[in-house]
Amino acid sequence: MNLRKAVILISPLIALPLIALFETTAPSTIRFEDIAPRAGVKFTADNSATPTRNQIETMLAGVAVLDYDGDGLLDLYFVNGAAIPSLHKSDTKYYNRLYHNNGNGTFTDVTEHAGAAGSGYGMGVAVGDYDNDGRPDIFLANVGSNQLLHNNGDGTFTDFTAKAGLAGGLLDGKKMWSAAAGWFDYNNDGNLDLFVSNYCTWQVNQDPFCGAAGNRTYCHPRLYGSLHNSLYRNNGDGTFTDVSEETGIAKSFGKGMGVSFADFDGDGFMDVFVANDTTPNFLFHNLGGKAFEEIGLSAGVAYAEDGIPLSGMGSDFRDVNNDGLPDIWHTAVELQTFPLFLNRGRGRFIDATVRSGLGRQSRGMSGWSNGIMDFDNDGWKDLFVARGNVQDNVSATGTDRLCPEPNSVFRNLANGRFEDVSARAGESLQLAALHRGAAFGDLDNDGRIDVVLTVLNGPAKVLRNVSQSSNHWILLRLVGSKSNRMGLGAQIKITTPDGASQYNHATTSVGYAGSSDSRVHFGLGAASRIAEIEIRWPGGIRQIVRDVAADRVVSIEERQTQ
Amino acid sequence: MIVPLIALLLAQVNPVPDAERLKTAQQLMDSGRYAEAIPALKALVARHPQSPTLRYGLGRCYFEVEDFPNAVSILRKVANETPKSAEVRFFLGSALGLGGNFAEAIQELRNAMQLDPSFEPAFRAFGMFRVQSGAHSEDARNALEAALRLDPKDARAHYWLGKYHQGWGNTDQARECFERAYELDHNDLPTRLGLAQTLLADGELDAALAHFDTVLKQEPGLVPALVGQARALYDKGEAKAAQAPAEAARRGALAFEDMSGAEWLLSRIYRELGRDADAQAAEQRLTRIQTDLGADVVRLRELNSQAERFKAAGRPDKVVETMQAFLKIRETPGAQITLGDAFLALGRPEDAERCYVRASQIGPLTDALKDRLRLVREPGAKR
Repeated sequence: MNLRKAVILISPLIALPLIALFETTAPSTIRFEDIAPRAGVKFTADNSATPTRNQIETMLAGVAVLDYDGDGLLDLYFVNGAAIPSLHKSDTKYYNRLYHNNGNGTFTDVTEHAGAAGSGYGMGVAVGDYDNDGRPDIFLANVGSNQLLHNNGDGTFTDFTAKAGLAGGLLDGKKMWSAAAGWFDYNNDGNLDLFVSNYCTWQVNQDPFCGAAGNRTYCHPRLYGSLHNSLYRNNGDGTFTDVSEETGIAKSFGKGMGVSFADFDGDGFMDVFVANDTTPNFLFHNLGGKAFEEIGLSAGVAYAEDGIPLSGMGSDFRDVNNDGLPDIWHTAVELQTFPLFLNRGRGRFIDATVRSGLGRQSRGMSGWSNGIMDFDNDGWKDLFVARGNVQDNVSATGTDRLCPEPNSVFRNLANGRFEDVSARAGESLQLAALHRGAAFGDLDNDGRIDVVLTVLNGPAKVLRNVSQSSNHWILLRLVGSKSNRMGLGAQIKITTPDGASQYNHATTSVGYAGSSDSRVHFGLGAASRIAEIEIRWPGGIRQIVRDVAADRVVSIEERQTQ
Repeated sequence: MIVPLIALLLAQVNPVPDAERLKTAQQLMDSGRYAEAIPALKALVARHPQSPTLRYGLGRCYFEVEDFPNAVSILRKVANETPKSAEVRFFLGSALGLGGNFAEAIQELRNAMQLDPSFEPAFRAFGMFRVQSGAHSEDARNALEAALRLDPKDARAHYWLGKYHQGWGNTDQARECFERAYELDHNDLPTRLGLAQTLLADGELDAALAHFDTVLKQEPGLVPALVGQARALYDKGEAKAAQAPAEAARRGALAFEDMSGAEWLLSRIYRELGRDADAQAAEQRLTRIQTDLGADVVRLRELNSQAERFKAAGRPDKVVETMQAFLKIRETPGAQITLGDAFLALGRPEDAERCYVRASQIGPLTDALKDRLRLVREPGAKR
């Protein structure tokens, strides 16, 4: 096999550095700048705030980065609310919005042309190519009926919800409020299946009264009933079957928020982590693609260190310490911490929140979407969290808390500890707002992971990563053949010439309610070449690509045989 | 604070045997033998019922021996007779608070602060009871900071300000306060415990362990210290060493948080040690705790603080609604009294009486409750 043939340069415009002058990794500074205003991104997540404090108002909204038109550039998709009490998008201000990446640092709103405005009160978005036609489709997790927007390949989308049977699970005859979703191939049959996290029982304008007279607040989630999550098996013909019951997913009731996937035990089947809000987190262990066993408690990821359930929000499930085992980092709210669960193998995780320094640093924060990404390309994945208080009037409740919060980035110090470097990460990161959603991806293919954020009742942010460093990088665009076309679930190990290895996997399900770049990113530090890339495709094929130059987007097609 | 009774009273009290009794009582109080002073003062009070100073002394003795119901009963009368005394209000408020009646305690202490803005103990006690009752409100912090302006060396005020910050998760500030309190008083166990907890949260495991060890040497069964010690050891990777304190914590835990914390830690420790069956048992117990107690505890706390907010906002109708929801989950004398007070504020003394009677049936018939019953049974009663 000619290994070079498998490596296709997708992005020829990217300039290669002449020579890596230094063979050591220079200390880097992570910096972002908000380019949304000049990029023409003018999206506001409108929650239709009411005096009766409907719980849904504080929970939106997700955001996705996806290359919907196949031009090699990530476009943006924002989820939006709707009118209350109708829960209909009765005004254009409630439309979800699709922004096309023009490739010159600007974006164009193409929502109407694309037919991507969505319907109902939106929460989350999940991007996946469910029909393996090479074009990413959009699933919308809504309060009311969920939606599947099929990508027609001509810049437009068609609502295939009814045909697909993905309108949403019912409990006691009522559609469950869906908060987030993710695509993955749980049975490795080559078709992407769909996991939907459902939040809580709720009816419009029926929330209990919480707070004080004159200062009503959103109620504690404990005052609402729990729901089970939903799993839909892709039948391969454009339809799905709800297999929540038969796979055991429906046995566990919680208040599902962020959902993330990884094969934590290396058995070749993707497992599911769900951050639950005030109920114990779930870790659904995939039993050979046939069923799931909820093992959050025995694995050690159900609770924070004090044995009390946290207000779990966003989650990401990746290897933060380069030991080849995916770890879990999830966000929570003020007075809690953002727990980091390190995978110790044999189905056990240890809570490393305190020893990593994250306990102290995250305690006063309210976090929503989050991601484990190498923002400075030093070969160690860092942490980013979108922050904002749950209450938009918390400062009026006699506390020290502020409603808007700035976002935070924690740099991986490569020694098990993380440092909050937000203060020197640029002015944009100092600006407080009611941040909610965050999606991660390289918008300009410069090898630096950018972040797109939603703000409740405020302008969205496009944080361009402008970190200066001489570190190298690579972005892998996977193309499945036996496996699903997007290669979601593929597990990748890279080894640089110095013998160091890193691990990551392909997933769009990152953080809370959002969908991130399906391409797999690695920061390479001083290494300008990769000695070996090993890919374990979800279909079972193990593929090795050797001697790959860095600083480019590389497309890798799945081989047909081992 | 020692009560200088004798100079005040010698002029008033006669004949000579009473003066002797008084001198003896004063000496006993001065030497901290309050229980022994009580009989002498009771006799004096019986002979001189018109003297608020004598009753104050008796009330103080009851306070010092932690007989708070009697202290409240006596100090309340003294407070009515000497409405300008910040000191009397302070002790009355403190006795009320230590007896668990935070709402009235806060009111009395607020009066004391207003009567004498330089009377530091009232500020400290006000902040303390606000924090202790779970109301980590701005007035608590203001009072404690005022106390520290008046007396920067008040270790207890530093400690309670630390607790205030700890309650808000402001561990940096909490730690500063605990460190200051510790500098001023190395022997105070709660201070060492608070400091140890903040050090643990900051990941300074060895320093935390040193304080937990000291606390446990003096209070071997103190559950929060056992949990902290076990957690610090576990975080250091010493699961085997963490096992004993975690098991001791589990055996001693009564509070929901301690029970949950101990079981969860034990399950992690057992997993680390490969004792999967023991881990599973701990996990099952934890699930039971969370299921049976967790939801109720959180809900009751919410309802309680909600009722407090409605009360402060002058909405007794909402207090009634809230406390009725509370009582559906759990019946406590305090909840019945709060409901009764709200009924009374709404001009419904019959309903209030029913609540007070019920409170007396399921809890002690305290003086405060007696006062309330008297009030509602008066003709035309209305607060």
